[in-house]
Amino acid sequence: MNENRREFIKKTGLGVLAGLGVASGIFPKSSFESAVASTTHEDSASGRRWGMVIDTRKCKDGCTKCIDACHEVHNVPDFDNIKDEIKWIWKSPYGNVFPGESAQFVSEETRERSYLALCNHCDNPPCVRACPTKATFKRDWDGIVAMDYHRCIGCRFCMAACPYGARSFNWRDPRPAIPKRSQAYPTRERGVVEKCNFCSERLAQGLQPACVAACPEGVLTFGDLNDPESEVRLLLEKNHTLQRRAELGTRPSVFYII
Amino acid sequence: MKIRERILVFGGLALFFFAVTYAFWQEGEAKKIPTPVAKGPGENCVESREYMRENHMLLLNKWRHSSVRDGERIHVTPDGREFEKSLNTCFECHGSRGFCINCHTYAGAKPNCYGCHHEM
Repeated sequence: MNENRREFIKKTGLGVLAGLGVASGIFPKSSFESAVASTTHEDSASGRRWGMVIDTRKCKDGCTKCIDACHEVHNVPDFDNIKDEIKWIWKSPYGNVFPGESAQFVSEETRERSYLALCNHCDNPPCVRACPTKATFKRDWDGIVAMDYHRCIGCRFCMAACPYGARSFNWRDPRPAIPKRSQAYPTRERGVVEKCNFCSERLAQGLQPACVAACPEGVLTFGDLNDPESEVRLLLEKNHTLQRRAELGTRPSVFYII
Repeated sequence: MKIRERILVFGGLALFFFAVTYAFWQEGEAKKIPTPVAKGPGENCVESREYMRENHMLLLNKWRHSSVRDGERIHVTPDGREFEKSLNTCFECHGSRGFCINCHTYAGAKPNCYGCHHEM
């Protein structure tokens, strides 16, 4: 009896080992490995990829025309309180916008200037992977990382996932805090996340994004990154540019000329 | 049992049955289903009246999905008319909240469209 049991356990053990060996041959990569592989650099999907080049040399200190235009068009509330702040496009100091860039002996002019920041509409967006309801998604036909506010459950995983702080949460009902309500675009409700949408509603009408149209200095250039003849690609060809935190592999679609 | 107690018990029971069956004593009919009428430039809606009465919410969901996610912003009806997929398109003929609220109140439906979308 004892002898039989020992034999049985031995044979079963050998069988399991053999099975594992075969399985590892059939599935060479664990699912963990393949998840890592998708963050590495590769060509972006075919089709359009909207992008922006920001020439920070031309951007005037103290000017907020692009911010005002964007926030007016999209009914972005102004709570006048940093804890409740909602922002689609904003200005930040050098160290905040480019935390990975050189901090030693940076020219005073570069250090002192403030830099425009907005959603980067990453080619490999971490917020989209984090969203449990697919309320935020990347449109594969034009590269815009868009949101469907109807589906947002306010879990804020996307805010934790975004390395650029480009997302804001509506802690309070935004409607009373909207200075001048634009009828062409809906507002949001308390409990949803919002961010820049690259003016997808204006692009559908053949218009430039509101910030680009509002800038009097020509700081912002908008176009198709997948079209080698486009204005943005020509600018990228001629100038040395930075992407925010390129080392993370998110492949931002917003580029900076410093 | 004393006669006084009996009166109390049966009186109480009678009162209870009256209270429970009160609703059935009432004369009358069910409330009429409201039939709000659209007025505006369009003669016909994107679908038949019967379809829209029952399924307008499904159509709106479809419009949202296809316009936001797939970028197909134009709805083409079987007879070739084109509509922009937007609540504002609906408002052109149907006005706004006043039209919706008739039936929604009747049906006890409480969609939160106007939490974000503007009343026209």
